[in-house]
Amino acid sequence: MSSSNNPRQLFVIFLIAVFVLAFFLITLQQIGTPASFQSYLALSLLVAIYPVIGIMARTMQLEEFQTAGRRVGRTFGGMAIAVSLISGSAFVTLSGEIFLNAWSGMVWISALILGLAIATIALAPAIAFDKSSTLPQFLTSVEKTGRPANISSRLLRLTSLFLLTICSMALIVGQLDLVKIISATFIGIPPKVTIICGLLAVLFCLLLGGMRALTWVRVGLYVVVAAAFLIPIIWISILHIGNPVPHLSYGTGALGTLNAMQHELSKEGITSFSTFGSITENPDSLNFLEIIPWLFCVTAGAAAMPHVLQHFSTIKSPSNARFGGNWAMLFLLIVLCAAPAYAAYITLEIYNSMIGLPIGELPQQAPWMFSRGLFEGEALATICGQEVVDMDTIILACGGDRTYQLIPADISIHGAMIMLASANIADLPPLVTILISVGAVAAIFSTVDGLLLVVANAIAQDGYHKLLRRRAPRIAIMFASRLILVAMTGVTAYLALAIDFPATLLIVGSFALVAAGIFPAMITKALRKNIQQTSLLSGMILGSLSAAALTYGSFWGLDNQLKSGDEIAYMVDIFSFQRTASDATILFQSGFVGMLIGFAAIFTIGFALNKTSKRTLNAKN
Amino acid sequence: MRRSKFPFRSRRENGKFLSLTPRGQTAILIAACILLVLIPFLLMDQLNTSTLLNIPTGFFLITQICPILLCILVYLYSRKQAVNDLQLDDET
Repeated sequence: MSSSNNPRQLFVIFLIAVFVLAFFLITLQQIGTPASFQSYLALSLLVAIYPVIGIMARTMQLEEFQTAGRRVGRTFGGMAIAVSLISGSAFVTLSGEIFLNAWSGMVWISALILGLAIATIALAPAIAFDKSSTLPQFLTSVEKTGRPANISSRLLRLTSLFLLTICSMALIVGQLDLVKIISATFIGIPPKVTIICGLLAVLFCLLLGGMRALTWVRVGLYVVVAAAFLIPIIWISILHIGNPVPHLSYGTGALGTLNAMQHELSKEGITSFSTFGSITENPDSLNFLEIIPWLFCVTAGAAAMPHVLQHFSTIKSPSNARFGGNWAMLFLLIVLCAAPAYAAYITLEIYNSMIGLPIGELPQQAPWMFSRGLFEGEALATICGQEVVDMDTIILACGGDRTYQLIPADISIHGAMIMLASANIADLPPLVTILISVGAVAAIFSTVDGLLLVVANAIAQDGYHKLLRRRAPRIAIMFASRLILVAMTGVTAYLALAIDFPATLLIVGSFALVAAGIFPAMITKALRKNIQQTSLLSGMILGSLSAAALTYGSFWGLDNQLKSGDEIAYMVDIFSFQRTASDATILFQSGFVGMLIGFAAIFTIGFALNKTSKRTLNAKN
Repeated sequence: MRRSKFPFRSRRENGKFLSLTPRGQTAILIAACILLVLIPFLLMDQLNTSTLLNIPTGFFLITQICPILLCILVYLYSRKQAVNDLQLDDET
């Protein structure tokens, strides 16, 4: 590696560049440059990270392209792993989930960290030791070089490749759908422009540098994402209580004050209205038995997500991979544990600025509520049940009185607003809103880039090289990988732009499929190196098929029509006590059952095969 | 070596008792991590200091403490495994 590609040097240059650009943007704001210009500039600078790092880390060696030469250190590897788990959905919706229904939000935080812990304990050393560059290669790694692969090995490779592609595509399209919403609603740039420019920059970077470039991009993006997530809440925390550590201050700084306020409200006799209204008709309040599938699915998804695991193969040794996982846990904890602070402080801000406010003063006191548009078909803010578009409609909805004083139950705010509009709500400078939006886009693209590369590498390595052309030269494999990368980027861009998918459900579905199809095989393979491939194969197929069948049965039923009334109420009885479960809960329940079936299949068939082979051996002797 | 009649004792004599094998240790640690994360959710009905976020303050505290404990636990395990890993490093 040349001195210009020295990781520490690169990192320091990047940090200096970030500070200089931040200073430049602040100066632009001070001289009165329009906010839209600042948004364009900030987003262009973010997008520019990709080609710049791509050129600096360009390579023509397969080892560098697929595994960054296995030379990444534990700290930088940890940063790359952490940012791949802080996806756009976690960045945008986590604080809002806690604001609306804290149980599910806290489940996500706990499960992401638990998933990373399991990956660190069990998967990281196994992957680093095995030196596999792709997930299917790790699963089929017992086969000896030169010996023709048997049918179960080929099927296992094909199945894992198929599952990996499906999960990754679902996650990419889900994440790009979030870009559409953020770009249009909060940055003011047409979604098409953001997606096409972002994907072109990602493609350029990955084509030149592959995994090597991706690792350094992710290290840079971690800095951007962490700054965008932490700076606003640190600012708010200092404003409220003078403490720059929101993770510690929100207990006394926000929750204590909120408790006192609630006490006051209950004295005034409005206890039943002291909580905020809800935009969705069925807010996903979870009981303990519903939390179990959520927790295990997200945990398994986080532990076995291919774009996370690929970084363990870039770290130079098993012990470093383990410590890389430890660093990643720390970096993840620093960011994710600030999410409850957001929920608490923003609730306090809304209370302070809006409760008891005559409705006529709303445009002056809370301009951030107006004309934000829709988020996945739902209004971002409603007052008295009406979307906040113009004052006349709201006043009419609240009884036609301009002096009507707002109570919490009148106000409904979408979860996404808590994070993305936090700077507006807390009255911070507009530049902070731009910083948050850019951070959200960075978090989204940090997931998308890794998934694109992992799928392209897997198809080239395991599909083209191992299944179609075993004697392919290394340069041909790399060329195939680059060609597939271009095709994948085109397909995902088309899917994201042409079709309106429900982003959250795609992301949840992807986690559920990873939990049901990939996780049981990965964890068993990591713990038992010589497990039979037939049992892994059966676990993957049975797990994913059962999850898919249960999902289909729960959504479409026997008459193949979406929610027509004949859907299988299989899990509702077990986990939800006859309540109407949300779509996300249904997907997680299916994934959880699939995961159990996957584990059961692997152990049962593995045990049966062991017995059979022992008997055959005894008979031969 | 004399084989024991009882499978439990035989496994222990051979050093293959669950807690002694690296695989067993890993499995036990994973189970411990899962339990640690489940603690706040198991206690969610007991922690009833309600706030405007519809959630007990104590729950917030525990859900933040448990992941920190988890990090410490995994770090200590990594330190403990460092010797075994060094052998693996040599092999790689």
